[in-house]
Amino acid sequence: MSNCGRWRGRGWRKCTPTAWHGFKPRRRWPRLSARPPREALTELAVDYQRLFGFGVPPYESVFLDPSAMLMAPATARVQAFYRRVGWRPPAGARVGAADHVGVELLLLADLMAAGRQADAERLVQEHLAFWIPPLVAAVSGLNPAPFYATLADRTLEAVLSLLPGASSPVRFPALPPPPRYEARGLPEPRSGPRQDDGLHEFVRALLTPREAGLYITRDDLGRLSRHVELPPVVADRRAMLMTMLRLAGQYDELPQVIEGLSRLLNHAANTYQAVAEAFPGMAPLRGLLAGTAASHGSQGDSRAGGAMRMVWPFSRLLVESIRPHELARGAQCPRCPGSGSAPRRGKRAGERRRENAPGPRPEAHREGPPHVTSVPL
Amino acid sequence: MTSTTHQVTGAVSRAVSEGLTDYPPPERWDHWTEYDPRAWPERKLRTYTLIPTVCFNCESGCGLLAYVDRETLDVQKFEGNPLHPGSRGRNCAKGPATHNQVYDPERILYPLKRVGKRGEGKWVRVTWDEVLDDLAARIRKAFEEGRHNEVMYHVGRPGHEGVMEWILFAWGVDSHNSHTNVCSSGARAGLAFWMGFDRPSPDHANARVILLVSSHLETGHYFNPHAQRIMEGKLKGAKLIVLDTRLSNTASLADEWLSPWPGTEAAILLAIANYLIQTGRYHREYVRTWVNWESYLKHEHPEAPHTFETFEEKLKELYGRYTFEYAAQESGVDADTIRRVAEIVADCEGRLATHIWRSAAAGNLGGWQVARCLWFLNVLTGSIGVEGGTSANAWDKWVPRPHKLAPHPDRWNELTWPREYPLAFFEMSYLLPHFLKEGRGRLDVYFTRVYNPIWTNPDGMTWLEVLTDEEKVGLHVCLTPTWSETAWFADYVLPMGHAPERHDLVSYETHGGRWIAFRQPVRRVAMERMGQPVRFTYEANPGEVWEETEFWIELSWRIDPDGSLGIRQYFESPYRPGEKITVDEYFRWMFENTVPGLPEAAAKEGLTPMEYMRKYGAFEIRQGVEAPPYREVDPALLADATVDEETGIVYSRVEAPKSLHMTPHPAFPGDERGKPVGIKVGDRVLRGFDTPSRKLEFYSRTLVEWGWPEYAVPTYIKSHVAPEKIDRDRGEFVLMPTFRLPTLIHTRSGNAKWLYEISHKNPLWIHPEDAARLGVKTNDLVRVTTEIGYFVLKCWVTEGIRPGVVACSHHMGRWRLQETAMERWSSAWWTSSARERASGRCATRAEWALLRARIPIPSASGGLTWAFTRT
Repeated sequence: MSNCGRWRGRGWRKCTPTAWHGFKPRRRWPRLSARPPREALTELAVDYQRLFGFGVPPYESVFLDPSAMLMAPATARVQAFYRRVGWRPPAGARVGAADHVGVELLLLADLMAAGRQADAERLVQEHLAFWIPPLVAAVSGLNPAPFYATLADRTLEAVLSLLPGASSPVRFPALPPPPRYEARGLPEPRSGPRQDDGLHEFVRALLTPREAGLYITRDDLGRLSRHVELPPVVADRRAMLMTMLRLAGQYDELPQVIEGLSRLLNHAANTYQAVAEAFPGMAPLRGLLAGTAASHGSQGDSRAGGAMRMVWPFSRLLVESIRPHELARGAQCPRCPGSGSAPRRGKRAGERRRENAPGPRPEAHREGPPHVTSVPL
Repeated sequence: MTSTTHQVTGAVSRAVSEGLTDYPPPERWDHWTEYDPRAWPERKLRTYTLIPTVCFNCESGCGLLAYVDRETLDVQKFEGNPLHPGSRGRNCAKGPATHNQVYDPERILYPLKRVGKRGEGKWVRVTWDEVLDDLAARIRKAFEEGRHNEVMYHVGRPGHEGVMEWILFAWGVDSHNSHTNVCSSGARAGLAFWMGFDRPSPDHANARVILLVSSHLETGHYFNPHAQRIMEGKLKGAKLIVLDTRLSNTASLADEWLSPWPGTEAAILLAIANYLIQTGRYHREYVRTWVNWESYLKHEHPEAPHTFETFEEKLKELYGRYTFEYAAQESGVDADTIRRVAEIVADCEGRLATHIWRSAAAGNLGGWQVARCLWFLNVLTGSIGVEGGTSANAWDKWVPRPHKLAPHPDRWNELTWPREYPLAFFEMSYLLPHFLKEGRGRLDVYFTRVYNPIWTNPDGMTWLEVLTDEEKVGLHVCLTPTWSETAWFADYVLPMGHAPERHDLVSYETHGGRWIAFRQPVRRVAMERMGQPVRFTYEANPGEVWEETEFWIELSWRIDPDGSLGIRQYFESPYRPGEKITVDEYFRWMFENTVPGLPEAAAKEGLTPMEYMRKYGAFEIRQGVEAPPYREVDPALLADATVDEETGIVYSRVEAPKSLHMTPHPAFPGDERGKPVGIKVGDRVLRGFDTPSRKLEFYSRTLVEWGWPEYAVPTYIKSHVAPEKIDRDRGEFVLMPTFRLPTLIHTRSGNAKWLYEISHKNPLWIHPEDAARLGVKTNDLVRVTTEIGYFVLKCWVTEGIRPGVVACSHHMGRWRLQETAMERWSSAWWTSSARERASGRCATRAEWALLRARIPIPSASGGLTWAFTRT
């Protein structure tokens, strides 16, 4: 992959030796070596807590539901599947919720062992195929011990090799839509639209793997933040990203941050491409990233194009809604004289800019992978 | 009728035909059907078993009803338990937010053991058996070697009654430690010197006047049960007076909001008292009967005639200087307002409900006298232990005695009760690391239970230093549902359940009445209801999250498996002699034997007491106010009694029967006449108050004898942040961090997503006058410098704060040592060098004390110097 893990000489989404690229399903898996020594096991146990206790919660709802909570509607969907196939998680499976990756894989194993190939395929098609790839990608981004890297790869292979093929591609899960108040003739909640609704929406979409196609870890955000030399923000992912974008606005680093996020999405798009090439059944997932772009009315013309077009409209929105310099009183922007005294509720900085400067050029959409630095600030 | 209604089951049809109800009727709790709101617009029915439990997100212990899906055993939601006498089916935001805590994707699910260095952040999952065996062996060894004081239990958020007394007494250790002396001990001390009990229990619903010296209604403690009763009182015509420097939600609903300069509240209260005294508008008979004025005259004015009238004259002299004008000058509240408030109090007709908690009494030099002065008003108006008045907490609370309680251990732990602090009210817990550094002792096994001193206490770095020193703290065991700064420096992090994941008995003085409630692990109960036996609660909870009661039973059993240490006997089942008690049996015995009225109420429904509590989750022992001091002494006790002619105190040599409850009471050793049991009032022998004089101690001999004669009566102590000590022209302010918003739960707020979403900003409250002086507007960044460091934050310009005072809640803004580890929605990354830590120069926030803060005032020539700089 041309741009994997190399960005201005610093790898901040490292390319780990996973099977992500140049993906070839294996016919036979290597056997695990003899029982490793105790110290090695301890190191693995430490890494387990780091990866799954602190890094990526391995639950389907965290990948599918915008709340990123356990016991979300996505969990109910998994439980419904269990019911349909007449299976219950074993009592000894002491996890946070029933859609833990281990539980789902246990069901997969049970189905295979029972020769229920069709059900196994459906489990993959309707559930695992959606979130194992971003889970594995997120784990690999955390620089796991080789054991987990290998395990993640093997899991990915094992799961995706059950996909029936291009003739029967994966189906995107249908989750219940959020309640719509007008459906009952009730008025919408009173609170008016927030000034930065666009930013909130952008952040929410980026942090929901179901929409963004990848799980952005705090590690990713921390590295990006450091890379663009913004003050470290360590909080939940939403607050990290939100604050990073706002700070970037204050310090004129927005293009760099957008570019960094584009790289992340780019990386995801590339990996989906690789996966889709190896497993034709995954082709619709490539469209997951491209699909967002499609909704913005463009055609995917490069492997990274979909992801980029997801960022592109938002990047413009960001520029308009963040109102750089307003939050940083006293921090004068060399390019925007007088911006330091911009009234909080006055004309938006973006509006002023729109009057003075042209917006992003539409042709930039087709320059993939584009450089967002061209957005006039 | 549309086609979808055909799908409605009988249960729902019945509900519809019966009309709408506030709550599912209890007879249908076990099998409750309703539409799944998440499946909307699809009309999908789900069946639940509704299991009552008790909220754990503040202390008031409101009832919750868990909707447990009968098929998946998942908790769909939490609503209020309508049968809970304290909360009556209502909850604040913190109740339903329990769902977020249970399903927080980043919660601690398994027991974790530290590998590598302490604080390094490397953890491995271990089994509960490994944990128990390791701890038990270590504790047993300490006991065998007589190192009992090296085992310590330090609690931040208790939330359960009686268990730790049972455990620690059985172990024979004097090792209970608390967070109280950075929290409520000021208010407690002020009340305890008056009446022996340290918490008020106001009957807001029936009061004529409600006087709050805190924003407690909204700050967590008793928010929900008090709020609803304050509103009831108001609807019945009560006047609400709030003394709070900050315009809290409570203050916004008050008839009179007084925003005093922090620490001057006592001056206002004494001005009101003085008004009552000078105008003779106090309850003369009550004061004559129940105040220890004789003792005051005898010791302070031995030459004066020993009459109540003399005392009245002396009162006028003592408090004459507290005029409205004086109080106005001290507090900044105008004299007319104080006069108006005094008039309202004077008209209370013996129904004055007061409350104070933390707030003005915490973080202030002399804050304890604020509580003492507030209670003075209750005394003067005779509104103690009467309807619409204020009671002592113990009268409205019930902690049942367990089947077997060891005597209080005959040991003294200098690490918690150092002798140079004889009047310490609660353990000197914030000095613990200093004592350890001074070599006064060491800790071999140190349990912290939802206690976060590294963050909470003013000198968090000293805690950090000591907790990383394995010589001083051999093993640190952190019992917690969520990660915290302190947990990071543990050797074991043991996940303990949230509200629906544990057994606890809860009883609080929420109103004029008395109740107990039963916190239950709802999944376990659901499994048992459906015939799936559960051995330990961690088998039913998410992951392997356990509960303390069962953990302590198992640990105690392993400490003394053969009974040779004398510990095992307390953990043997009252039902199966010689065998280990189960958590079920522990509570069952109390419900059957030491909760008055419960067995009868259960029998009426054909249930055992245990079944009753499992089903309804609460039991009301008494409705209405009842005050033991005014009750006659049990005639049996008077069989061998002596009356002290001078004081009227009645002593008895008859051994009083063991009380059914163990709600803490002051104990008096007595003498050859036996123990004091009452006081002669006219011809009758009444029980009186639990004080040395058996009366309300306006005059405290205890304080005189221990060297504080100037504080023996209610008085006003100038605080360390008195107005004259703050130089406002130099940009000095009082920083008030001692408040919280009603949706915050200390250092656990960040693990309840919804609560964090409601209150996710923590600005500096600043008055428009000050803002104009500083040239700042809302959302501008300001740098606040205190004696121990500085912080930068956005400000919020509001008239809801007094000029000269800035406020910032201590419930938000956390730190962690590693960027990606230790999950938390609300924490920030923090680094310090080992050298900084060792020197103690790098201080964390002092959050409980009011601080003198300085915010730079811009010079004429330049801008502000504290603009946020890049790192």
